[in-house]
Amino acid sequence: MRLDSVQFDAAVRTHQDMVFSIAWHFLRDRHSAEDVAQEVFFELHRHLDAIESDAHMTNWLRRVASRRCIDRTRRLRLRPRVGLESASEPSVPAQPGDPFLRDHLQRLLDGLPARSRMAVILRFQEDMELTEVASAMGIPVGSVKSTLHRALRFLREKLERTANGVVR
Amino acid sequence: MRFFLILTLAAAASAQDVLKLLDWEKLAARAKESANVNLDGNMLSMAAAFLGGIEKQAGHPDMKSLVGKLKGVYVRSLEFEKEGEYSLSDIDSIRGKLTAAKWSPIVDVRGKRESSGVFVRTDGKTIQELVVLSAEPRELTVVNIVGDINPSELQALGGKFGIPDIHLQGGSPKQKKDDE
Amino acid sequence: MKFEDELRGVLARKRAPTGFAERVMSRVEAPPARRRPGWFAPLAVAASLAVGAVSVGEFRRIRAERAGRELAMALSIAADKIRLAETKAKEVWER
Repeated sequence: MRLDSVQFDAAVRTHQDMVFSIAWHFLRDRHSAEDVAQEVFFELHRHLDAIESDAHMTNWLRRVASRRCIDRTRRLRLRPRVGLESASEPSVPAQPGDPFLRDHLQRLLDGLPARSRMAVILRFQEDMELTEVASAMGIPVGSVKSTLHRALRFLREKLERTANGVVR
Repeated sequence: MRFFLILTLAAAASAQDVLKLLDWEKLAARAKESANVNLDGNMLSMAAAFLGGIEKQAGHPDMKSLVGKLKGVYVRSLEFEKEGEYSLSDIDSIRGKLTAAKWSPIVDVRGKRESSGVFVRTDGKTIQELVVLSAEPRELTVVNIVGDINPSELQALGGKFGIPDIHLQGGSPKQKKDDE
Repeated sequence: MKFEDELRGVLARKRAPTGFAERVMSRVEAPPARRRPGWFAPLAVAASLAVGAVSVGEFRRIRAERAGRELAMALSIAADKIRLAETKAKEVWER
C-alpha cells in the first residue's frame, strides 16, 4: 500500500485509539502504552509495502500491538503503579454500571496472566472473533478458546463473589 | 546403603540442582525468546536497594524488608515459535526430583500438552524455597526462589513494578491429573 | 447487567493522548540516524573511561538498576505462572 505523508497521518488518526487502547488496557500505564503505540505505528510506516488493504492494516496493527505488549512484559521495563495522573479518558461513553464492580473487575483483569489478559482485551475491546484473536496472537484457535474460557470463568467467579448476585 | 545414599542425595537436592537437569542452552537455541535471571544474595541486595529507592519516593513500604530475606531468585523462561520444541518429560524429571526430595506441591496440574506446578520446601514453619514449573505448548518456564519466603510479603509486591498479584496460597495441595 | 457487558465497559477504547499522531509523524519523518562505523562504540567507551566519565558509583547504580529490573521481571514471571497454575488447577478440580 502506498501512502503519502497526509494519507499516513490520516491512517494514524483513524487507528490511534485502537492501538493505544490495546496497549493501555494491557500495560495500564499511559507512558508505556503511548511508547508501544508509537513503536507500532513506526513499524507500520516501515512495512507499508506489505499492507494490502484497510482491513489488512487494522488486523496488522492489532497483531503487532498485541505482540509488542506481550514482548514488553517479557522484557518488563519497570512501570509505576496506575495513578490518577496516568488515567486515560474513555473515547466512548462508559456504560451504566456499578463503579465499584468496574474497579474490581479492572483489578482482576490486571492480575490475569499476560496471554489471557491480551486475549480478553482483543475479544472484548475489539469484539474480535476467536479466529481473529488467534491470528493476532499467533496461537491456535483452540488455545484462545481454552485461555478465554479459563480467564472469563475466573473473572466471573471472582466478581460474582464480590457482587453477590449483582452480575448475572 | 546405596538406597540410603540416593535418598539422602535426593532429599538434599536444592532446586538450583534441579534447574541443571535441563540443558537450557540447547533449548534456548531453539527458542524465539528467552529470559534468564540469576540473582544471588548480593545481587538481590542491590535490587532491593534500587527498587526500595523508587518505592520510598512513592511513599510505599521499604522494599528491603520484603526482598531482604531472599537468598536467590532464578528464572529460565523460553518461548518457542512452534510446538514440540521440548518434551513434557523434561519438566516431569524436575517434578520427580522435587517429589523425591519431599517438596510439597501447592498446585500440580498435568495434562497431555500442558503442565503446571508450584512446589515448596519448608523447614516445618516457613517456606524456605519455592519452585514454579510451567510447561505450555510453546512456552517453558521454571522459577526458583530461595530464602525465607513469606507469602503475605510476597503478595505485597503485587501491583508494584509491573508485578501482577501474587497468590501463593498454602493449605492442602491441589493435585490432579488433567486428562484434557 | 451481564458480565460480558461489564467487561466491554471496562475495556472500552480510550482516546489516544493529545498530540499522539503529531508525535508519530515527526518520528517517521525524522531523517534516519547516521550510522557510526564499527570502531566508534569501543573507541567512545575507551575515551569516556579515559576521562573518568564513568564513575564507580555510576557503575554500581547501573548494576543495581539492572538487578532491580531483573528481580521485577523474575517476580512477574513467577506471579504470572502461579496464577496460571491456580486457574488450571481450579478448572480441572471443578470438572
